[in-house]
Amino acid sequence: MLGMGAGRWEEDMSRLLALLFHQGVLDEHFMQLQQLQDESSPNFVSEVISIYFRESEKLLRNIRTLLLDRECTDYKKIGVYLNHLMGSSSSIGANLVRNVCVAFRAASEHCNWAGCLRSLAVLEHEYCYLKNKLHELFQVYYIQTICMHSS
Amino acid sequence: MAAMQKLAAPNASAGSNYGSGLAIVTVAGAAPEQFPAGLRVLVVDDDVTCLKILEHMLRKCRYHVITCSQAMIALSLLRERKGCFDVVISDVHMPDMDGFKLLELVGLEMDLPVIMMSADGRTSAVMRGIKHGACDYLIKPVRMEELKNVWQHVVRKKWNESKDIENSGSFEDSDRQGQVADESEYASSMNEGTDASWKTQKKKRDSKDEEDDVELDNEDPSASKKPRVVWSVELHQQFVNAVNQVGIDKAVPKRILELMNVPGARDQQLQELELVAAWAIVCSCKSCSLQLQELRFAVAEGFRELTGNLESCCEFERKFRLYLKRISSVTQHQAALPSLFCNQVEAKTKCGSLGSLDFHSLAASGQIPPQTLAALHAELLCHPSNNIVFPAVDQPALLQASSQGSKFLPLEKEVAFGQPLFKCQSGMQKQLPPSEITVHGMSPGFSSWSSNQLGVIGSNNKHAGLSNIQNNSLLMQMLQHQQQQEHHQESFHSMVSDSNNAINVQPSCLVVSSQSPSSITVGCNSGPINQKSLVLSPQPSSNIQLGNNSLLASSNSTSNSSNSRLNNPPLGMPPAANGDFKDIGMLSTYYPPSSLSSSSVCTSSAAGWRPQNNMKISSNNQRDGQLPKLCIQGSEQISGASVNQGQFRNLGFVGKGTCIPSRFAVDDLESPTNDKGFTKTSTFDDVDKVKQELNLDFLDGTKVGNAMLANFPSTDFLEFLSNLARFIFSSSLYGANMEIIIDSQMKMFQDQSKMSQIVDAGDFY
Repeated sequence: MLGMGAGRWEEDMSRLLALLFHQGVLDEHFMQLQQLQDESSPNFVSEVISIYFRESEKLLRNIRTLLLDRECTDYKKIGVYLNHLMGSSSSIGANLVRNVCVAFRAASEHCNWAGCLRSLAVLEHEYCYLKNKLHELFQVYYIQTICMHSS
Repeated sequence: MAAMQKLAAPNASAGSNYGSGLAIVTVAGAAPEQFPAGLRVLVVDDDVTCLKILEHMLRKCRYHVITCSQAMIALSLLRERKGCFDVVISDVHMPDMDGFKLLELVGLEMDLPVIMMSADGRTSAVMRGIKHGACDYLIKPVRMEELKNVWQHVVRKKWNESKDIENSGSFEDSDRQGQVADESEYASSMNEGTDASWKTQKKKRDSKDEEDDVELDNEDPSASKKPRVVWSVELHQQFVNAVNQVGIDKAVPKRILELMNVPGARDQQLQELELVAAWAIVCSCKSCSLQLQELRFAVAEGFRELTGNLESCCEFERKFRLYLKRISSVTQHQAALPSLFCNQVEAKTKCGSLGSLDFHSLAASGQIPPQTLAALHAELLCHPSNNIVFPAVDQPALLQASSQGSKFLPLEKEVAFGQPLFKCQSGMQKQLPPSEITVHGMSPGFSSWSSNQLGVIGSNNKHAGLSNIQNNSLLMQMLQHQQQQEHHQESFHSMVSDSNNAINVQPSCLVVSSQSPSSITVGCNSGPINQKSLVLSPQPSSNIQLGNNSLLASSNSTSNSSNSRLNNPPLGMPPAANGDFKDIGMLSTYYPPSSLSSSSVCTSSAAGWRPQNNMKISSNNQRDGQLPKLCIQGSEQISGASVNQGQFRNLGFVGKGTCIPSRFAVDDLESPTNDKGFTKTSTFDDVDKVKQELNLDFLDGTKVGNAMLANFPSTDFLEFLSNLARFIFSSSLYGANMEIIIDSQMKMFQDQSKMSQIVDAGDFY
């Protein structure tokens, strides 16, 4: 049954990926990431994504800390964090998160505290969505792999 | 993540084994035969995600990769293992060190190609990277195709280095720079991994050349690709020596060039220099206030025609302005620069014609302090980057145009510009305020010129027929007038004013001028002066002038007292001058440049030089011989050395027998064609250098340099020119020399058909 389910999981994965692409959550760089994975680095994608989640959460925490301080004046630092987040998000293909970061950066450059707060809310929301979906994707992938191996 | 992963220690980390059978080369090993495989890359990025992805990608390209998340560690790694890396890819924003700093250090110490990376893909950020000298600027997310091209940067850099060594002795600095620029401009981030992006970058870089370009050629599409001579200090010294050797009287461009033995020095460049210098001199003549405007426009127009690049004109203006500012800050004298300079107005006037203009004449006259002329020239010919009218350029052109009449007749070198000076010298010296001692000092020199100039100027009269000839005739008249006045020991100022009166150059005459000269002057002149000029020239064009004057009045803050003083005397003069001029009908062509606020120029460079967009040279109106009340402007300015608050340096050096800048000495006696000297590109560079040199002279060797330039707010080109003119004026260059210069310039303009509207140089006086 597991073997027979592999195809189903594969379908699920494809469907999920298609959905994410359609929503703009992911873009072609995610595919490029997958292409980098080969026999020499079989877990490349999952490793990279894990690193990404770890780093991004750190960044988001820092940004939140900076913004929640009402006397937030260090927009430059927020900009630096955002830049970092933008870079990693775009590298893994997290298109939507990256776009939100761009908007966030604009608000921070204008020292717009309210705007930054709003952007942070959107950013965290999108980030959570991405994280959930990617986890889901990996789960399907792992199950699929297990199915394939077992079959 | 570990700070570094060593390729030499194959481990289970992903990517360490290609699996393709490619042997893993140690870090210290040489690249394998399969190029570009084996290229040794060091990646520095604090973003671990990107670092890992990049590492994998580069490994896919079969490069040898070492990653590092901290810049300091990367730097130490590079230092420890010099020669172990071929290329460095670094992120821009890093916590411990700025990416550009790392770029700088790597470039200096190891001379490796450095590719910058950033998530910030905005043009400004990319430009910054390019300007810092990055071989490339990748925008995250980095694509595989871009990484595949990394090897190109390595090769390109190596090849260019070897080529640079070959060409180390060449004058073709511009070419080299161009090559290097091309390299650095390659921004794969701008393209889809192709090489097309570099072209975009190059264009962008060229078009927005904000940095001081050494070579104008880059920005002058129409400039010939001849090797440009950079007017270095050495060159200038050669020029000075050559002029000294030849003797001021015999200083002709050809001769000077021979003596200087400058390989690659083009006549055009020298012409340009001469033109600028002559123009500046003319401008500085108080009497030139009106004419300066016209000149400016004409020159600008001519210049533009020549170069086909308005940018050049603007750049020229800008640099000229800077130069003037520099001078003004150094000098004590306040030569009231005619407000001509102020008229930035139709910035689109051609600047090109300027180049070939007055320099020759200036050089010929030989009386103009080389530095000044050179500086002027350099300034004028530098790239105009602003949309400022190229007043300086216009002026010479105007001068020539005017002198030539309708045609743009380049004045012969020895002539044209001399006229205004001529006028000024005799009268002015007397009244030169103490601060203008230099002027006085120069008078002896001038007188020697006068005779020469008279002859020269006379030749200009021939051209009176042309519409612009009016200007010429005016100039001629002025010259004649000057001659008459030669022994008239009026105040210096009055001299100026006389010339101003006589000149009555109507901006309209200038080719360029679509702008009313009056407007030009207006801006520049200090209040009182302008008004005077208005009064003086009731002619049709006066309308324009009036407008200008009013402008000037408002804008000028120069010494009114001095101006008024100046104004008065000149007023007396004009009648006589006018009479002379009327015959020639030159006046008609010029309308008194409204209060070329020489004063404004001098006092506060910023004050008068407002680009006067409203200035329109009514080309038509001017034809009526309006005798220049214009001149007054200039004279007023000049008289009030105070006006020029120090804008003009103590031109004492002028009288010291300093050689005329070799630029002027260019043997280009022949009419400088518009395209000749208007290489805005080269001359500008020279101008800058000259300026610096001039500063040196002025400041007793103090190297002002760029610092000074930087201190000068960018103002109207007219302002700049007027300042410069004042400077020249106060340097007692005036006199016969000036006339000769102006004349020659005008002749130069004559030759240049485009300079039809050049105001007669003589008009300045």
